[in-house]
Amino acid sequence: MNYYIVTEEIFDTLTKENISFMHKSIDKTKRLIVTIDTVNDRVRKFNNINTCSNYTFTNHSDWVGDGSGIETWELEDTEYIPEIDD
Amino acid sequence: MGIGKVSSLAVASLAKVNSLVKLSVNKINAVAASFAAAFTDDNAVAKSISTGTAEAVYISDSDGSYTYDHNDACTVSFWVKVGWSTALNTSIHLFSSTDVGAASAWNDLYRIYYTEQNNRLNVQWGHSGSGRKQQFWYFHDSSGMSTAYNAAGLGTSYWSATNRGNTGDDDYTLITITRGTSNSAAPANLKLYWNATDCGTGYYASGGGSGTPSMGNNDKQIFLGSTSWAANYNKSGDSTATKFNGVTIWDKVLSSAEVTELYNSGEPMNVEDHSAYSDCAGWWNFESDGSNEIDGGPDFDQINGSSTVEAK
Repeated sequence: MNYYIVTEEIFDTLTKENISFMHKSIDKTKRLIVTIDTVNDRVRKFNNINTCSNYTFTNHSDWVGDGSGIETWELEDTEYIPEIDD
Repeated sequence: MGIGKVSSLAVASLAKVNSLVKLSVNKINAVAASFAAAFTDDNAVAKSISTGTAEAVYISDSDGSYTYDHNDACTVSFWVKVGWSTALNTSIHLFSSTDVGAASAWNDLYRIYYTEQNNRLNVQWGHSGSGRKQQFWYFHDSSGMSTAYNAAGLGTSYWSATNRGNTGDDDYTLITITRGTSNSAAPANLKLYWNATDCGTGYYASGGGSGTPSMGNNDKQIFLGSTSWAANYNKSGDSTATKFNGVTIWDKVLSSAEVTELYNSGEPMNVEDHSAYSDCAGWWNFESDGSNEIDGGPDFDQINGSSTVEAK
């Protein structure tokens, strides 16, 4: 799996069926995604699920509203479903 | 003493006994009525949005009185008054249970949690990432999941303190999850009721998850309004405290009619009067503290920090 932050514009160009997780930033301008694809045009790339999760805890105000972060189980269990997640 | 005198004394004594019996019966009836009238429902427990053990609301069972595994039939039900905002953008845990002292989620997890960022109510249980079952319902799509959409009454906006959807009295919603014995999150084994209304088929037609959960019967800890593992006990929401009331756990799958009975037209009921009360394993009404209304059952003996029992 690959862990990225991408802009909304780049997200719109990606193959949604290959994305297993998607989380919008608080300001809705960026998406944190987990995908099997390689994305070259990205804001940030993470080496693994733990560094990805840790980043959101450090930068929580950009990603969650409760002061926590996106936990690893959320990255694994909250399935992105293109048909219902806009 | 003549027979007439004896008879009149006997009649007088019987009349006295009768009147005493009548008085006693009236007294017993009055006492019984006072007990029946003793049920009140003025308070609830408010889970602070601050996190950590020092703010948590939980049972730490140590005597085996609350245990279950992956194929035990059960029903979990609670009234909830949502306190989070539309900017939560993450999950809030409503009911979460793991083994006592669990270091990770995968210590025999059973949880009911709402993910605000995509408006899903999720149920999950299991012992590992590769041994878990899960299901979810979402509420904002009148065509894709119309039954849940209509049950919740949230419209196209997500669930929050400013959009509580269909509620009973005092802006509380009764959330009920029934789970059967087949260790599956398929609709035939797992149901969600919003108030008294069945939310219909969840997203995963055959149930979601991975592998086969195999859970033990170790003592459990149950948390309201946060996760139940590790040291964080987080995911408690934002904005204002979310309140819980009338939490019940049942040793069976409540039928639709029994959930309707529990909903009681929107007013938390005296569960002792419920037709399935003999299957009720735990009932916490939070009138003065976290005591279990069922004798011998574990209490929510930890209501910590800014989390308090307060007016509904």
